Amino acid sequence: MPPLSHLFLGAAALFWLVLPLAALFDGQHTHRRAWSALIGLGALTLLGAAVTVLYARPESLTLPLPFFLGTAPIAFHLDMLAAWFLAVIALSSGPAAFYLHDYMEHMKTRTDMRVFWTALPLLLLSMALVVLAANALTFLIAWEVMSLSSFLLVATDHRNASTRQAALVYLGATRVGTAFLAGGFLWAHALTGSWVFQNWHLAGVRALGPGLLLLTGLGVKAGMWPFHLWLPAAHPAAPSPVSALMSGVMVKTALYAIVRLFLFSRAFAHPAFGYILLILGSVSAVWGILFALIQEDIKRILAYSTVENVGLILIGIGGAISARFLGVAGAVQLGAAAALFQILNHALFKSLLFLGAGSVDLRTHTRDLTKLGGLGKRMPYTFGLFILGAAAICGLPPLNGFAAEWLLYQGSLHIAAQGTTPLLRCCGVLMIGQTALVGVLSLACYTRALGVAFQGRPRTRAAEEAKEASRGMLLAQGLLAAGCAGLGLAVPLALSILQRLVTPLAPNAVPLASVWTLPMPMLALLLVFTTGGIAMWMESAARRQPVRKFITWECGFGDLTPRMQVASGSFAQPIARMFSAFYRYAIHLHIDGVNRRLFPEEITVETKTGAVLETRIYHPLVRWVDRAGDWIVQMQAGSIHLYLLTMFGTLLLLLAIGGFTR
Amino acid sequence: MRFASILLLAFYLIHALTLPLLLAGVIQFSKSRFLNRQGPPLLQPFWDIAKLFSKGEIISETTTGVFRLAPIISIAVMLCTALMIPWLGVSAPLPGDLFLIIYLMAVEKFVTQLAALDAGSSFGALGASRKAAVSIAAEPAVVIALAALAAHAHSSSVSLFLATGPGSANLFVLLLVVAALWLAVTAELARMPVDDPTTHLELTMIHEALILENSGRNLALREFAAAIEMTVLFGLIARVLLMALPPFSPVTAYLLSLGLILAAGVALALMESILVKLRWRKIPSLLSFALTAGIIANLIVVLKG
Amino acid sequence: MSFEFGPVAACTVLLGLWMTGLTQLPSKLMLYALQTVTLGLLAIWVGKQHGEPALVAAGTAVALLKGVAVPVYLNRVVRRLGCRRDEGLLLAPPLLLFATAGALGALMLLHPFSRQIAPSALPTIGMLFIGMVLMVSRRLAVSQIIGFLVLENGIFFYTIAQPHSMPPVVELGVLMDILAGTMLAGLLTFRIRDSFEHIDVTELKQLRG
Repeated sequence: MPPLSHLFLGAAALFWLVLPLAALFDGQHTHRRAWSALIGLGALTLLGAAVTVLYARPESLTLPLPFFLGTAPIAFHLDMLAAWFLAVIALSSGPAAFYLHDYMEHMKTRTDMRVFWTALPLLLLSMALVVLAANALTFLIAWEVMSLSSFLLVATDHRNASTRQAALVYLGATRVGTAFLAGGFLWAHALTGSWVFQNWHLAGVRALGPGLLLLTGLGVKAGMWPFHLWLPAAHPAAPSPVSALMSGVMVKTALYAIVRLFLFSRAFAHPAFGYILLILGSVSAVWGILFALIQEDIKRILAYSTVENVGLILIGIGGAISARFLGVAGAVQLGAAAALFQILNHALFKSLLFLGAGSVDLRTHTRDLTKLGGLGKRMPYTFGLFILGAAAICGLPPLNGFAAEWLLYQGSLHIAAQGTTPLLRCCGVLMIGQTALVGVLSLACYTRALGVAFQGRPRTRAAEEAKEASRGMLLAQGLLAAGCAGLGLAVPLALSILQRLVTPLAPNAVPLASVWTLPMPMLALLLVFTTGGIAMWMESAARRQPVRKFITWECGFGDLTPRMQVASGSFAQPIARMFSAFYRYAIHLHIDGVNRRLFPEEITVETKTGAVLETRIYHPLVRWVDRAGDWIVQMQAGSIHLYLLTMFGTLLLLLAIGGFTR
Repeated sequence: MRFASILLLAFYLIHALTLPLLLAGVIQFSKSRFLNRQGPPLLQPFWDIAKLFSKGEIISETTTGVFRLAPIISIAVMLCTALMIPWLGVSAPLPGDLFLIIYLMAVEKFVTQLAALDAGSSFGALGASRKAAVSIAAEPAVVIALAALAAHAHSSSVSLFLATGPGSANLFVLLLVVAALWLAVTAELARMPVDDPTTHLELTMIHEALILENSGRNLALREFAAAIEMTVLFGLIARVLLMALPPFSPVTAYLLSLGLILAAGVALALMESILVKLRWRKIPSLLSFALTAGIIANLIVVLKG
Repeated sequence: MSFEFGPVAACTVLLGLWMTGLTQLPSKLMLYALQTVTLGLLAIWVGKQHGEPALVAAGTAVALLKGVAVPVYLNRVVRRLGCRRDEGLLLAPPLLLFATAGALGALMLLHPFSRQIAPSALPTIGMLFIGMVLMVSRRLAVSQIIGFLVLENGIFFYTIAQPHSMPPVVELGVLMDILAGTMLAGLLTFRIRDSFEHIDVTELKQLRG
């Protein structure tokens, strides 16, 4: 009798492997409900596996002989860290199953659904395998399956030119990422002579080379600044449940690898990694949220906000790594716990928000804030759930986002108070201030998104005629929202699991349970009762004096038009001006007319933003690559002889290198 | 023990429900006196609020449920914060935490801005946008300034980092924190050099623009929440000032903080009488002083500790 | 040193820091006056403590001449020139404030001159730095004068912080130079204004052939 965890894992793999086969032979009459059910069942069993692995002893699992990768077996390692990430995958993909069948309805005529239903379970399965992989080759194979299947999913709506463009950008990013990753793995193998992660123990300068390559490769996938550019391209293009999975979970697999290799197994031990992650994490957090603030496309807002959250998580990881080298045990524990907690939280609320954005997209056929408005009255449940998700992602108590941000604050405060040098303590203080800045910026960002998309009056006919999302879609969001609220109240439970995870990192630190002393359930009760009491009193008073409804105050000039409302651009204007150096923000005002000042005939205002990173770094780089490509194309002129010669030359070169190094 | 804590709770609640209105009265009263006017009686805000509570509401037909729920949530949140900060000189009835308090206040900001955006009026949205912009400049300053005290006390728990008596941070740090808090708090509360509460052109304002659509009981709740916020934050500043002095008996501390809160009101009135409103684009420069003061305070704590 | 020196010294540096964030020339002059008078009083106090009458004399002279006479004179210059505001040159004032505060923090934390300078004299280096920042970061000629005066305050501050490092007589001599220099610079500012119709020093680049 194999252990329960193996059974669960096997069942999940079975569900997710059966689906592609069944879907492939299904013709065009896809049984979407059945397929969604299979996805959901897979997620459920994966959750079961996560729970059983969490409470079992770590073990290794090697597949029997026919499954062999040249120099290493296909091997998996089941431990608590993997279980935590399995839970993240399961909790995010499970609710999405309820969402899929109604959402994918509208895609039916536009694309071959068989590809979608094949790629989706493969993505889920490969994400689980990435998390479980015990050696570099298994990891790389799973990683590639994950990258390619997610590419297919991004390209679902491939008749659309912009989607194709986005998918290609994403493909390019994953190729670059994998190249770095493969380079890093090869280097590490050359230094250690092993493919197994657990056998890697590089320290000092030797760790720097492979470690940096791996960090770059993983950073591309994680959306770390300055490699984040594929996120705002790929997320809006993909179908919403897929963006939810990519943003909520797939990005986290890269974070998993960082946590595993740099923090837990100490495969690469050098303080520089901690500092790099800390700095790039801080930049990602501020940069991501600043750019989220000025986007017009809801899903681009969410994509940039993912960059921000990844930044916060990286601050936690980087802080933990550096604190370990600097001997601040408490901060190691707090940073790691904050990062892991935020990984779970972000999977929940970002999925929720992406699904909400998907509902809006489905019902109005646009994601452009300037064309939405007034959806709160037309899609009240989606609105409510979106508010909850926004509140959670802004870290408002008593939801789950707050707990993770609080842990991050505590970690920073720990460094600020008990760091070993003044410089270190100063860094702790700066981290507190930076997290506060990010928090208040994200509040502004989500207020803007909510206010412009859901409140006020509809700006277009499409928004005016929007209808509430279907029950299945609401159920999916409801489950995620319940997860956010529940996790916010059950922080001690989550902390007890996290405690078991992070104890090996800092055995002597104060237990997390004694750090977290906030009475969240009591606070929530207090808030609910006070709010409820006052609301009831207001209602009873309203029965005596009924609430009268009237038009919005228009200064007596006649009814307002939807165009007179504040648009997304004008809401962000004061803030954009404050940070204009980042945005290269400029307002061009043009007034026309004979007497321009008093009687303008035409006023045009145009605001321009552009990112320094894109215009100054990536565009020249891409141009350069393009030019290099043109040059290489000349070689690929179709001459078989030239090809043969090139291959032969390469072979000779490799032999020569091999001979010399011997 | 149980009885004592209930008594403390009642004590704080009574003050949270009355003192804000008294403070508003004091501000109005002293402002009129600075302008050589008679001004309304000291207890006028009580009558105003009572009048508003007895009136019905008119709401825009564009609004969703958020509009009516938001003032209720914000007053609930403000009452919760009022029970967590020891703003009356004696220890607070509920255990508080620096970051919890900051984020609870963010909840209030969130719902207020959503309510302002709900009617689809440009005024409300302008107010919300400005409020967001001001808090982006002000809130990090508040957090950084208070973090200096927290870093000194090695804890973010209110009962520790706002503890009076020996072991509190040195006078210099406390004064810098008070300066930073005063600048940032007056900006957050939309008071003078940032926003002029006495103009009646909502186009240029923050607070009044936010509540333009509210009326009757709804408006009363909204104004009440704002008044509580002001009192509690002034009480917080008073508490930081008290930390500079040797510990007092609870009664003296209570009377002192009461006096300081009202004195802060008078100081605000004085500021509003002699200062002109800053240009909107200058506000980040003003608040950068708050942030710098907070950073310097931290620097001193860091170098000493 | 006794315990009162530290906070007062820090105050003077903070006043300098405050000046970097200001755009209004009169308020800047006010702060400068406050800083100089504080320094003068500090010098008198230190001189009494250490029994150095020369330092007391220097402190009195600085407080009266540099702390009162010079700001009053410059205030008149500013009023007659009719330009009260001086926007930043490279960085906007708030950013300059952050940058200067950050640089001061780095100076305190890293202490790169630990071989040459005692930790107690670090604030004086800070003030020298602030004076330099004030000189480079502003457009108007008057601002340059103020920056230079703050820089000189830093040197005087060093004399107080490290007694016996420089004979106060030298300081008195420097003080006379400063006075003459300020008068001259003030007059020259008028000349610049008359010749170029502005006192924006960035425009001086156009003088090249």
